[in-house]
Amino acid sequence: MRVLSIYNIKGGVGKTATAVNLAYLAAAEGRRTLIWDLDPQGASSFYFRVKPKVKGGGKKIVRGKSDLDDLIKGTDFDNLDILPADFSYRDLDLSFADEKQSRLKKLIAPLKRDYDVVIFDCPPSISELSEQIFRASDLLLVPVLPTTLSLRTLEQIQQFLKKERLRNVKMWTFFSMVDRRKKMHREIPDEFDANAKQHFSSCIPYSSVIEKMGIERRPVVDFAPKSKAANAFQMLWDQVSSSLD
Amino acid sequence: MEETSAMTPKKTRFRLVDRDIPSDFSDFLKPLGYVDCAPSRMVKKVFFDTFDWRMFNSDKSISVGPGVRGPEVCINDLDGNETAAAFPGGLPTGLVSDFPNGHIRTMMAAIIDVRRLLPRLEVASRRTPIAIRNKEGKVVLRFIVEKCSVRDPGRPRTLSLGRYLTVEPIRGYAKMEAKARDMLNAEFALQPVACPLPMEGFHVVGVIPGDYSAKLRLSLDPMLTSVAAVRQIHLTLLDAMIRNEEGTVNNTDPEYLHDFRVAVRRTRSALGQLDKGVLPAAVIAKAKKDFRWIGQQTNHMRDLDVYLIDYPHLQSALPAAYKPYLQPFQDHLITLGRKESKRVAAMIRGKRYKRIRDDWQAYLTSGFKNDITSDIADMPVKDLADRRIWKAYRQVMKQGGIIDDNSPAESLHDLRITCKKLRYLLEFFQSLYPPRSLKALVKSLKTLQNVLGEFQDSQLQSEAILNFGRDLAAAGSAPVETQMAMGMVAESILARQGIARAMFSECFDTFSRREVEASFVKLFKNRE
Repeated sequence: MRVLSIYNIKGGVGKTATAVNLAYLAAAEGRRTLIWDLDPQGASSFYFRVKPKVKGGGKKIVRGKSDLDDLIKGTDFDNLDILPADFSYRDLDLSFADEKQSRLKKLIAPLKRDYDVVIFDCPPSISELSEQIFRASDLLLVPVLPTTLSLRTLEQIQQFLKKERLRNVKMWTFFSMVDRRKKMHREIPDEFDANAKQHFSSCIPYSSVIEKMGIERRPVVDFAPKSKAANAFQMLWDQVSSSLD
Repeated sequence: MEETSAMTPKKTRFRLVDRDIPSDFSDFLKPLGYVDCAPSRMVKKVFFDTFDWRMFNSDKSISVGPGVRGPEVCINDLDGNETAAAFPGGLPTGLVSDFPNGHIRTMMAAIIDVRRLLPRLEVASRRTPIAIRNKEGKVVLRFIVEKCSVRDPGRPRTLSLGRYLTVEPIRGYAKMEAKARDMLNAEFALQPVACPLPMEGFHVVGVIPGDYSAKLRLSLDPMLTSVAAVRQIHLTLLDAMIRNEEGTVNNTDPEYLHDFRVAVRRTRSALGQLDKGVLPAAVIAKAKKDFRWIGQQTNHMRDLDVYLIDYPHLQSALPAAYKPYLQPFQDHLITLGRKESKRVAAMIRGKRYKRIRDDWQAYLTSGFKNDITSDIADMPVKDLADRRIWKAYRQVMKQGGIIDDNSPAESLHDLRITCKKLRYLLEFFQSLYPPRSLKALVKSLKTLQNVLGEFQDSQLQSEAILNFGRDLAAAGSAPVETQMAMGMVAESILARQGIARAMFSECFDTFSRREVEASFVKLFKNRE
């Protein structure tokens, strides 16, 4: 079982759109996939039409009093299940604070019977929960906007990983919400791609079809498989999956 | 192998007769939620397995059918509830190289090894998927109504399999499934079908999964006369030989030839050990000569197959810089293999082979009864088995007991042959003895056989590789580095021979230990 986390300190960078589409593509490839919507806003759950509600809430999960198996829901797609969000996840930091740093890793360990890939759709923050996520993940996938501020947050994540000696997780970046009409959005990726290490070259475009996910309530790669955005997600998944294997 | 999950909801399939499902089935389902009925479409799935049913024997099925984006290979448990793996594409060769690198290939390599997956069953169905959606538009339960037909891919005729309703629960929505079951039971009293769909299909086309195995599956009555048992053994071996002819001729995969040769070797072993006093001497002498000839005709091809199967292992013994230089050796093996395969195919299609096979078959089926020549023939087979096994065991102990560090290689080779004879006897007569006791003895013997096999094979292989190297040098078809690489391979094989020689004493001591001896005595001696 490989664990992929879609993460950024910043909000609104396309984490959920990435998580939902990559989860769909992983499942379509025949990998038994689970997406865990860790963001209390529950956007992934919304996209998969699943109620953002977990019996017993996040606290019970962290303490091991809820069996994850009982909380998982099947999506409308083969090989793809979801562990929905819950509003109580806003307090997950507090719950994890009383636990060992590898608590989340231990919680998901039994899932390896059922799944080849687990994808965490992470909330935007850097906190106790983030650290638990880093320790449980094989690959940290960070969507970056082609802006100076977004690149600055990247440095903050790198410094955090270094400081906490989180060497087990590989961090990879890619550009998200790229609007090629903007000069900065053309220049920054070109410059960054040339020098960056552990960076996927596929760029997810800023696109109205991605926003339409809120209306369609399913991944772009399902309802608009020939769109530019769907192709970009496919290219990203091809790169991510070879890195995961 | 992946463990199966207890959490994945199980699909239930019901057989339908015309009156079971009304045309307004969608209306009937309305109390469950919003009914989303998709248009019907034809779906064709081909189920694959190896000639010796390795998927079936592993409780798995593999099929190629339509996926989300084109054809998809799906590996399921036999009842179709658990998907072990799925990936886009097909099975162009049917060999393990068709599977993507990683856990899927590892899993399949453990199941099929060098065998080729062959199309065994085609299932065509007209499917109508019906989804039940909740207020959010989420699918909470699925139904599939389908009409299926099946075909044996080797035959033109398509046969009707029946109409089915499959209920597919969605994980996390168990209440919906329970409600649907109650509704269906109240209205239609449907009975679930226990047999997996491909198994039903095999039954309809008249194919019995698992009907061939390289392992001998003789079931002998202890009171059967020796002559009748010998006949049964020979007929079983002849059947195995005949069933592997076509695959050997077509060189479908190397296991056909292997199984063909094993059947020939077992026949020769039976002729030498069982038939004395049971069949006329002239019949034995002729059959021995004939089957020796068949064996000899296939020796070279099997050797080449073994080198090709072992090639990745042989190459792995080389330093990285030399690995690419071994390629001309593999190419040479492939070229020789093709020629040999044609020669063996011509042999099997030839008059001499056909005459030997047909004469032997005719003798076993019609000429057999008139040839009884001694009291041994009328002896219960259990007595014959006890005598022959005990004799072979004593011979193994005698030959092995006098081998020391200075004994020539020939004495180990002779012991290997005697061990093989003992092994075949244990296999012929396994049904006459308690399975657990016999299994333990075979296991002990197998360990000894492996060491002896490694000792002899490594000597022959290292010599053969040097000869192949000379051929390549004489033809000027490979650079000098290839010769060097082949020399290294031969050296690494010889090192294996040294290790096997050093291990012999310990292995023979293990085989000679009191528990093993006591088992042989208990099972075979006291009935002598």
